[in-house]
Amino acid sequence: MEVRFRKQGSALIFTVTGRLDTVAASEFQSEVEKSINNETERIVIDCSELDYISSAGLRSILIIAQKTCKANGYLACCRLRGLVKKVFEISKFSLIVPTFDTLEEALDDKLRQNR
Amino acid sequence: MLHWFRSSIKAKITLLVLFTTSIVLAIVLGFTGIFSRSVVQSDARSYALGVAEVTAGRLAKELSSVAMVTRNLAYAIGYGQWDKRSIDELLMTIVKSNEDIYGSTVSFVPFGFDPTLKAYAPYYYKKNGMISFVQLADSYDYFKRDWFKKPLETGKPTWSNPYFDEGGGETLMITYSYPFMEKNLEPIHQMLKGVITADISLDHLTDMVSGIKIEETGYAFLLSDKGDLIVWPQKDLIMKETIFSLADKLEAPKLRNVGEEMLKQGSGFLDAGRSLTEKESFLAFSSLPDFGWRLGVVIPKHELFAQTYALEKILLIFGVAGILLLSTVSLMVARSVSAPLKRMAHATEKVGEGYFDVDFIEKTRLDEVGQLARSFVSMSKSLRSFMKDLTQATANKERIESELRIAADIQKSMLPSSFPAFPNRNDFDIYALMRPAKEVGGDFFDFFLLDEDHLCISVGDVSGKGTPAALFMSVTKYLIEACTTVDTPIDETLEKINKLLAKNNATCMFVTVFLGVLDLKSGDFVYANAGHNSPLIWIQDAPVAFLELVGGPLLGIMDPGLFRVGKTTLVPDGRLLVYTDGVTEAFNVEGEPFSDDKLLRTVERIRGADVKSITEKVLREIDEFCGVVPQSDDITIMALNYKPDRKDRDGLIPERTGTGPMAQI
Repeated sequence: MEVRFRKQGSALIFTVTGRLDTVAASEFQSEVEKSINNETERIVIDCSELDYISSAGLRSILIIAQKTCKANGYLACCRLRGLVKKVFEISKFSLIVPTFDTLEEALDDKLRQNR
Repeated sequence: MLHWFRSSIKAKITLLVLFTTSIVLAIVLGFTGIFSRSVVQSDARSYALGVAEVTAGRLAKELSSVAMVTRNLAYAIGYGQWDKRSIDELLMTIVKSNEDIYGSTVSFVPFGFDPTLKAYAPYYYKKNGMISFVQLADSYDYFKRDWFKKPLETGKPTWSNPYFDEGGGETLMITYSYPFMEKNLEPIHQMLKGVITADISLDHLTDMVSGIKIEETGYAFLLSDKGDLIVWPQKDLIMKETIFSLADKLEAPKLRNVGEEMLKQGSGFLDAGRSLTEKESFLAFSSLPDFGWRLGVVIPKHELFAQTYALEKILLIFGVAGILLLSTVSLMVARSVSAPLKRMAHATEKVGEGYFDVDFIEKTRLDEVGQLARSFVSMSKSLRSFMKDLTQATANKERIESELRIAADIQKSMLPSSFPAFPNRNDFDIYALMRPAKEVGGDFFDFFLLDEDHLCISVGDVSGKGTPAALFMSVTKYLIEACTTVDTPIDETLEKINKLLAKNNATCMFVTVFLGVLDLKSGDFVYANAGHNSPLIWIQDAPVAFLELVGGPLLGIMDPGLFRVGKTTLVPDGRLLVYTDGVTEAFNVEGEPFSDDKLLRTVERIRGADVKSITEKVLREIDEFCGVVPQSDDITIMALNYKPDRKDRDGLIPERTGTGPMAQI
């Protein structure tokens, strides 16, 4: 599992590659938490290279979302595919964390959904 | 022996030192022996050859001086007028004054002295220290003798071969014969008048040769050009044997070789073996040129090499003493290493058995052994404290493990485990199993009768696995059991539970749940879902399909969850298979998941089997699929079969088979 991130405006875009299972989830969580600061308004998780996500992975996203929300930030996921997309659908994760098909939509202020 | 060598440093060092120094000593001794011997030998060779040559030269000189005397005598006789008396006097003087000359004669040709005397040959010689006289003419026919004939025939002086002059000197001698002529006449009238001789006795030659002293028992001898023994240590063999006949008599082929070699060369040096002496000896020889005689000088080897032997003996003694000393020292040094090592090896065993109290007296030494001793002691101390920590940690671990085991037991007993679950109900069959990935799991299943006509089933999957998930799971399971009633709409039940779970959930734990209630009279099935996988449903001849799900997200996060009610009807013999994602997300070696499709096909194949068989078959399929890959997530499978045809009621509400806070309604 690898995490890359880049800044776009006041948003941080994290691209996760590989499998987000239990061990990877805690790594992922600490990587993201390391990179965000007070000025981060928006976090987008790009799942285009994510092959698999376990419940621990989902949980790590939830924890990040919780922290972001507390800081009045906003977290969204985008570009889900394959098994990951299926998991999100079954668990209705998109009801908790906004999920979009494209990166642009995830960054679009107008489409911002506050939970 | 080899084993002892290999098993002891002491032995190795000592034996190797012993062995190596012995070899070195042997080599040194060998070399010095060979070298000194060859030096001595070549010195001896030079010396002996020198002696031989000098002696031969001296002999030759003496012989030639005798020849000279004879020649002068011949001239004197030839030129003078000599009568009997003057000749006698002359001869007497010659013999007396020349110690080399044994005897001398003037022998005339027939009628050469006196026309009336056919033979006249006065002869004076030394006998027993006195001058004696014999008239050879009276003794024998001297005309026939070689010493007379030869010079007259050749007109030249000659030396004779050694011979015994019987009737004359009565001794072994050689004779120089000089023919003389009457010189007073005119040359053409000069004719050979007779022969003048001088004899040299072999005794005298022997005396001359015996004067040569070589070492203690060395000696010289003289051979003629034919090998006759002219001067020989065994006097009785002189002129009786040649060196060759002697060799044959003694059966000593080496002696023959010596003789051959001597006669072949003019001078030389050779190893005579035991042929000339009792012990081994060398032979140097030279020749008297005019005679072809050979003078041999015999040098006994043991006397020659006496000093080198002594040197070698001393070297050997010192060498052996040195080796012993060296061995002793090396033994001591080796022991100073091997003894502590042995003790340390022993101590290592003790440490292995748990005795960490070790100490060595060598720890004060400054060398490697001392270092080892100090390291060993410090290591033992570290080990002791490490063992203490380890014992502690192991005790802790065992405590945790035993608690986990108890937790696993508790969890196991939480879930319904006795089957058939409702033995006195024939209108439905239900079977389920949960296999955790670790000791305790985060999945659960439950089923219980809400009342005589309503069966509640639930399957849930807590995020993560292990003890944290197990805690959350037990809360969820009991909440479901507590909150589900026949009267409450099932979506509201879920809502209530969701609210309770979301309330104190800082760690964002969540659980997916499938909850359903089956009306056992009508077959109506109401259900609600919180982020869980669609159960499989198959009725009559319809293909196995996924139950259509509507509803909210996983429980515990979002409040409200906005859950919805689903409805379907189970026609008699209809079946449901509820499961968790541990089934569909079981991965094999290639990283492929078991998948919905495979589950569907598996169930389709066994659609008609009983609930136990279906459940176990699905589990077996998963295990086969995964192969060696260890189980990564908790697996839960529940199969329900609604078969209301044969109903058997006895009017009682059966007990709930699970144990928990609410045992009975």
